[in-house]
Amino acid sequence: KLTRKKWKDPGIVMVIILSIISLIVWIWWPADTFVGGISLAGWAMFVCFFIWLALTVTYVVWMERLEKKEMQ
Amino acid sequence: MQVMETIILAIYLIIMTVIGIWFAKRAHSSEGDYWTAGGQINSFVGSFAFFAAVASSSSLMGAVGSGVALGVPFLLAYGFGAVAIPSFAMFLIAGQIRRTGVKTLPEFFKHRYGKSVQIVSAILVVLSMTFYMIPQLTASGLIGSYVLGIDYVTAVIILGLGFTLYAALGGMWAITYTDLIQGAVMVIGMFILAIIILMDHGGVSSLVQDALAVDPQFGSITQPWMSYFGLFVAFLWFGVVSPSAVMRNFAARDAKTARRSALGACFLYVTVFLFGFVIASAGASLGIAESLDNQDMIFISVIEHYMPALLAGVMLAGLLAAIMSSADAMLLAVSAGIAHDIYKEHINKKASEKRVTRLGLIVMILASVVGIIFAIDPPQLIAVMVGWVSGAMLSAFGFPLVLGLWWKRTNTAGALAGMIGGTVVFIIMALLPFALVSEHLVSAPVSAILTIVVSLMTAPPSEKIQQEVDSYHMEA
Repeated sequence: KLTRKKWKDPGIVMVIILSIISLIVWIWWPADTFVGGISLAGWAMFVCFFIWLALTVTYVVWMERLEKKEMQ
Repeated sequence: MQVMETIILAIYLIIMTVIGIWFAKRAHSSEGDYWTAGGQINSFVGSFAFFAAVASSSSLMGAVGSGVALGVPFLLAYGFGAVAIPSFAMFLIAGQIRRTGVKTLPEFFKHRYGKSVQIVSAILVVLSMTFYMIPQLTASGLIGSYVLGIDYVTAVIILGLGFTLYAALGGMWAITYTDLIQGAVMVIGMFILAIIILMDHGGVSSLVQDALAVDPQFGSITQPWMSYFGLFVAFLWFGVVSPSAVMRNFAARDAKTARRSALGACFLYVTVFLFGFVIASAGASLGIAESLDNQDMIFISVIEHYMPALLAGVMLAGLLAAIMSSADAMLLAVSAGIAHDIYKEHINKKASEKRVTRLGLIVMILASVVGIIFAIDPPQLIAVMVGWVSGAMLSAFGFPLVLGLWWKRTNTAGALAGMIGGTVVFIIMALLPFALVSEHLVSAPVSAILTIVVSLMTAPPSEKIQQEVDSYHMEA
């Protein structure tokens, strides 16, 4: 039997975090504010490259620990 | 003809073909070997294979060209969605779909929903992947005609048949190991080009200022908000809904390897978009966007301007690698859709594995010829075409696949309604003479609602299927 709730799965948690961060960027969308000659909306998307990478590393580590625990 | 670049491209094509011949015997020994490399690919090779399959002409030439022509935030919007492709696919499907043990996306739909959904999905896979090959072939024709000094049509035919040869001979084995080389050539080539540009301009800050001096709009949001948002959504879902990307999960050794491969691909994508930012800035500083017939040629102009012939040959091979590594994966998906999911499942169930893999080889050649015929008279912009196919696949496969993996209650009627309903709404939206929003922003939610509502209105799947859904989330 699957013991954990699927909606608490690390994958779902990460999708929710990714969606919230994306929504913040899309709703905020500071197109007319410029930093170094480039729109702040562009910089916000640029910063997200690294947030996505951090979420991905977190997920891989989390899943491997979870599966190790379940196998014991 | 540019002699040095031509020699390097010729060496590159020969190496790819040798890999195809090397794996031919192994690939044709079983269906599992031909479609999924026997499920034996490790995470290092898998990282490059996943990255190379997803990073196409759109990610490189399309993103840089758009970044110069429409302002660098457009390139960053590409990256915003594209960097998340492997991550999003990993969160939602990578481990789960690897545990199903299937060879193709339609085969998963057969196990989960039955044959009716399988046949509909196989037809959609064949159509979408064949159409998706066209912009790849178009881009290869642009590079080939430019470097080899031959006409566009001849270049499309030579390069199209070039990747078809190794893919048809060596199946997923050859495709994966050529992807390893192609992914590495792509990343290394862009790294060298970015370093040369930064040295030439004296750093990132002065490079951006040089670009802004030539094009004051370079840093601005020049398009409506919806253009950026639609692009982001289509890219974000690509790794989940594109059969060419999903098949990489079937080739991984296990769920853990599939996840680690996606992590590696995410890292490679971040580096590519960092280098892409530098290359687009250099392209803007050259002030050539207006003078080119096709904005996808901007990347090539930057290569020619900054790199000596030898390194330019390597980088042009890198662009070709991006194209071929995506097109070969699409070709494999088309081939599996016809030979495995339609022929073996519905026409000749007793066909031997050797016969099916031979048919796969023939289908690849035929699909490539069809793609080449369409690519000979191509539309203008690669990015627009890619966005169109991504949206159509999201509308058809996205929610029947994800809900099928996560929600036990999803049933055959719901999946069929979501798949057909999403596709029909997408086509209607695409054919409208005016564009309210990006098509998939309407058709994908319609697909989700139809899948859920129709599933709830009809009988739940059998207890056996419901237990199977739980097993997708557990290590054996």
